[in-house]
Amino acid sequence: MSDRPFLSIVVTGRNDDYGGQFARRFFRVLAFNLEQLADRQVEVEVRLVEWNPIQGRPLLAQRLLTSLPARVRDSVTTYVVDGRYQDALSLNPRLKYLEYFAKNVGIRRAAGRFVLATNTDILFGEALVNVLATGALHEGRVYRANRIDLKLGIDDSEIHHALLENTDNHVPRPPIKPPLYAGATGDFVLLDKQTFDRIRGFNEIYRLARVGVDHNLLVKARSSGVPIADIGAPVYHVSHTTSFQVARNQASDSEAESLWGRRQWHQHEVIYDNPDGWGLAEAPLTRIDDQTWRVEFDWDAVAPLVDLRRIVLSGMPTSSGRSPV
Amino acid sequence: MPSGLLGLFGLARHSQVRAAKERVTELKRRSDEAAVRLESSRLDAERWKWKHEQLGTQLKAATKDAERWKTKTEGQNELLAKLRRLDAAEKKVDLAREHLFGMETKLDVIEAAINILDRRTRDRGAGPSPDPVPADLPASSHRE
Repeated sequence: MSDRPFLSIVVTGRNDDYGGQFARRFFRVLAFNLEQLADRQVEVEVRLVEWNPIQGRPLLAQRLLTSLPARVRDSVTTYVVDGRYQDALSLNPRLKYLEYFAKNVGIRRAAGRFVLATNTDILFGEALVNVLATGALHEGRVYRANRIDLKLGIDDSEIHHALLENTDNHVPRPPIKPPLYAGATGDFVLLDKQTFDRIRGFNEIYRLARVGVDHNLLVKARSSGVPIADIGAPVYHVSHTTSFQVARNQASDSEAESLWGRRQWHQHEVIYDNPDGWGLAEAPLTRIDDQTWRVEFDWDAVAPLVDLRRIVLSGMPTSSGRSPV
Repeated sequence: MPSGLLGLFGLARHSQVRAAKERVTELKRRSDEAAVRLESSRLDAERWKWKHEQLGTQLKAATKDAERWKTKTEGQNELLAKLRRLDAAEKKVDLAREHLFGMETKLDVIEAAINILDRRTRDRGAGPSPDPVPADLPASSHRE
């Protein structure tokens, strides 16, 4: 592998059995994706961010490294983030997982030319791997992908392309459309590292919600003059009981708040201007092993709870540039 | 004119009679021509009168049309002005709405931060400390 991989895959999770059999689901998905990319000689690294690990349970990172096939194991680096960051940063005590803060930790530290922020239950189809293998991606452009939901309960004991591409296994959902190509955005945001740094990752200012923070990045990108495009190949989503599409009509108010935070907020109109230290850039790192780092707690890495100047209307100038609109 | 002896008997020379007849014929011809010209002039006058009346009617209609168009144009200008005002008002409303969203988002963040700080204070278990009282005021002094 050259010094700089073509692609960094950023995912976040912890050993909390999220959605039932979380670790099993994640390991199988990651192994499938990495093996496909390895088969096509795509140089890839994985930045797993283990946010606020649960006390008394083994780290997800440790379990992952023993589960992955040997030939792809070395591509994974894990950042285990001190749980105090969740408490220090959160503006919503009910929201238990600041997913996009976690992803920013990985994005900030990614080394790849392109960075894909995705989720642990997203499978890459053959067409997507082909696109990545040809390397025909443009810098300065956000790539989005249509997500195809696989039916809950299908026999996924063995993942293969025929299983993914069989339309009998699909749950219909509307395709993504211009200009934002929004819809399940958190599952696939692909952007070159330099532009990701320029727009400063996902929103770290409005810390009350998880739902909509992904969409908000698209609004920010467009507002910063970064075009958005459909990569032209779908990804596949392994449904589980906490999938937003499955659980949004079943979860109680408190469960919904715990999973997704505030659901109604101005994600389409109001954007953000993250501080210089976004992605916990100032946090000290301690090496746990060759592939695992601990992100130590330090108040210097914690941005203030309130910084109103960093709440910006879409189309207004931010440090990442002004909207051309 | 009869002259001489013939004249005494009321008679005239043949040449005189012929000349008189020729004058009469000439006068009659002139009279006929004048009558024709008169008739022609009368017809012309009637035609011009008719034309005048027609033009008068057309003028009235045109004046009416002009009035109507003037009113219409004024109405359309007024409508255009109204549309322009509406467009400007819509833009102002959009801008105001955007600013409102911005303010709401800021208030969300401020309210959430206050709640977080309140919770942290309570979690520390310490009761609220009494307000410091300036040394030169009695302890029971009320603030207005």
